[in-house]
Amino acid sequence: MIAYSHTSLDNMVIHEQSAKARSRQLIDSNEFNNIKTAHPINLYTPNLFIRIGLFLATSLIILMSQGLLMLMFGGLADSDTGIAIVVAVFGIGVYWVLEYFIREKKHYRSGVDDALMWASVSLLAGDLIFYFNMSSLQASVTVLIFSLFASIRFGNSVMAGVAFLSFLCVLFFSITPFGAIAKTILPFVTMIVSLAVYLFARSKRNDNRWRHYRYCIMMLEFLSLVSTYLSVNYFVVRELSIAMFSLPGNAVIPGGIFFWIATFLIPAIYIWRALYTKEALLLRTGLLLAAVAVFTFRAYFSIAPIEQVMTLAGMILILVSYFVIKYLKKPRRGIIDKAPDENISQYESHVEGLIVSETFKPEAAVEPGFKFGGGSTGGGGASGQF
Amino acid sequence: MKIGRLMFLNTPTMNIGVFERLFNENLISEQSLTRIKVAEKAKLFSIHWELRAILYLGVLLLTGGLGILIYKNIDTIGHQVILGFILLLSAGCFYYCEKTKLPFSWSKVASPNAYFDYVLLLGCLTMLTFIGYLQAQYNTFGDRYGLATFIPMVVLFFCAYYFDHLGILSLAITNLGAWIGFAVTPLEIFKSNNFTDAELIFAGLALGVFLTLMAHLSAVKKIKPHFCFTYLNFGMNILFVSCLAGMFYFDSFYLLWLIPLGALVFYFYRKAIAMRSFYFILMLTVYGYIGVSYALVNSLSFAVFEIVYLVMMYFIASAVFGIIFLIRMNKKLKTR
Repeated sequence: MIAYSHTSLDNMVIHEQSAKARSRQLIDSNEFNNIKTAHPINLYTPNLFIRIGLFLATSLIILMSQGLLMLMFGGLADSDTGIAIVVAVFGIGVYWVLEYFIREKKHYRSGVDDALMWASVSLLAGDLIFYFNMSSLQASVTVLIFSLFASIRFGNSVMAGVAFLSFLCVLFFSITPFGAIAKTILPFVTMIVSLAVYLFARSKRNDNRWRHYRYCIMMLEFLSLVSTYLSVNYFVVRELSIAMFSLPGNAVIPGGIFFWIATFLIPAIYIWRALYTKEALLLRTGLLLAAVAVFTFRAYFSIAPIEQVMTLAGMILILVSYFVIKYLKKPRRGIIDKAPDENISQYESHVEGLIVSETFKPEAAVEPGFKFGGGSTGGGGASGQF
Repeated sequence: MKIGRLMFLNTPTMNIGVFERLFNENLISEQSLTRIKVAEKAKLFSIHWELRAILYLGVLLLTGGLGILIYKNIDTIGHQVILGFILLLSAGCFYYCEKTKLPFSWSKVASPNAYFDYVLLLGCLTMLTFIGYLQAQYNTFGDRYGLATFIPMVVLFFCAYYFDHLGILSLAITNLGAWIGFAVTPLEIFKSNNFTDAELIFAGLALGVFLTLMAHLSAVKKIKPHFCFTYLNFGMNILFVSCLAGMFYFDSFYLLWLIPLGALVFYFYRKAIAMRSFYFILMLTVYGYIGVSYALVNSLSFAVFEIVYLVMMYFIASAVFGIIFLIRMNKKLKTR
């Protein structure tokens, strides 16, 4: 299924996990080094900035090769079919190079494989869509097939996001032709389907068989949470209804109250559940959507000029965060305000140490002077942590 | 029932299965495994970043709102009240920071508490609004517009060093740019600057040299050495952009600009190696590549159509070269 070496991917998970345990000083450096030598990673994954550079350079090569091919064969095949064939052959060639780089050169998220994957998928899907002059539904299905294949083959999270979005498009374009009733139930269908996708992704998150797709799963969770919300958000439903039924701009949509309740209730549910289940992704999505809910409200009811709202909201946010930070100085129901693992604070290791040492007697395995990666933020950022 | 169970599932950040496997392979001791299991159970859920983001958003909204509020109410009686509020807020913030800050040192000083950085930011931003208001309403600094940006800049630089705040330093550098009429923030650097103005190009070069010098001094003289990266980052981007702009602008001398461009690439290459910075390697590669490619394509005459083939082949070959260079750099910076 996945193109990359399974053993190396597994070992990569082992490295990640051990590094986490090491930074929390749960395993000693001896164990950590033994793990690394026993589970080597035979993959080429450069630094993020190098990856960006390699992505740009590879994209340039693909673009220019495409141009050269068009110059050379564009004259020979002076018809749509000719051009379509040239593009298709080129797309297949790019895909072959991609498989070659993964199999032989062991590239994994190196920028080279990213660029080749995106180029081959967009060349082939785009070629089919333009040559057959596809309808929206057909085009969505084509994109869905290609992106789903690439997600499964390469485990790329952004590609999985494209697959999910094209899936929603397929849903939209296959329901709307069925008339007024179909359009009316569209928000509910989208919501139920999105929720189903979320629950599916959620159930696979800790499933060992899906471990190579963990980033795809995260992307799916995030996007399905967002689309669950947006499908019943008042603004989205109203503007879409106006566009689909060609209603006047001041139209009142039926069931408006329901959508208003959903607009505010869903973010609240997300945040509440996230605090209960302690999931960062759900919490962040909930906070983001809470902001969307506020903007939705502002779009229809302007109770005060924007600057007054900004000033007031600013004061409220500062006060709320002030009191919450103060309240969470000590852990409450397992929730705390502290810098995360990577930047371990004295306090955290202290608390954790206490809990751990109370449960059993640990051996002295603390290496003195352990240093944490001192990455520097760019221009922005306070002296603390922004 | 199943769905309910799914939704109540908690997510551990450490995968116990992995460690059980490592234990079976005799790679970790039983004690370590138990320790991991206990720690994972006792794990606390931190909402640190979320709270900081809300706090930061609050500061931005409040200062932004106050800024607009004062300009909209400039001719009403209410604006005196708002002005008083802004002044009080700013003074209160600075008073708080002065009271709570840790003793000054030329090296890095930690924030005394969770709010310090945000209070200082609020104080500085409201101070900027206040000075802007004074200029707009009473024309305090007259037509010497430079003074209206010069004074906030000095105060910002002072605060950045005195209270040790990287965000304020970035603000100060942006104000320094504004003072000499140059937009320096990454997003504005291309949009707002009119690079058809020779004066601006040289001003940009001078500013870039100055910032790079500041970076050098802060590292060598140990004057807040952790400020080095911020200075260097601004300096590098301004220098490269000004240099490329010079190349595009001085049509007849564009080849001459390859000399300063080469010098810049060389200087920042040395810096990148010394700092082991992948970021600088990427930036100098991209800027250098744009410069060289521009010079090359510009010097060709397109009288013969076939020259297009040559240009395309140049791009393919040079990009391959770029890939090899970046891969070697990755190796070099990693293994050193």
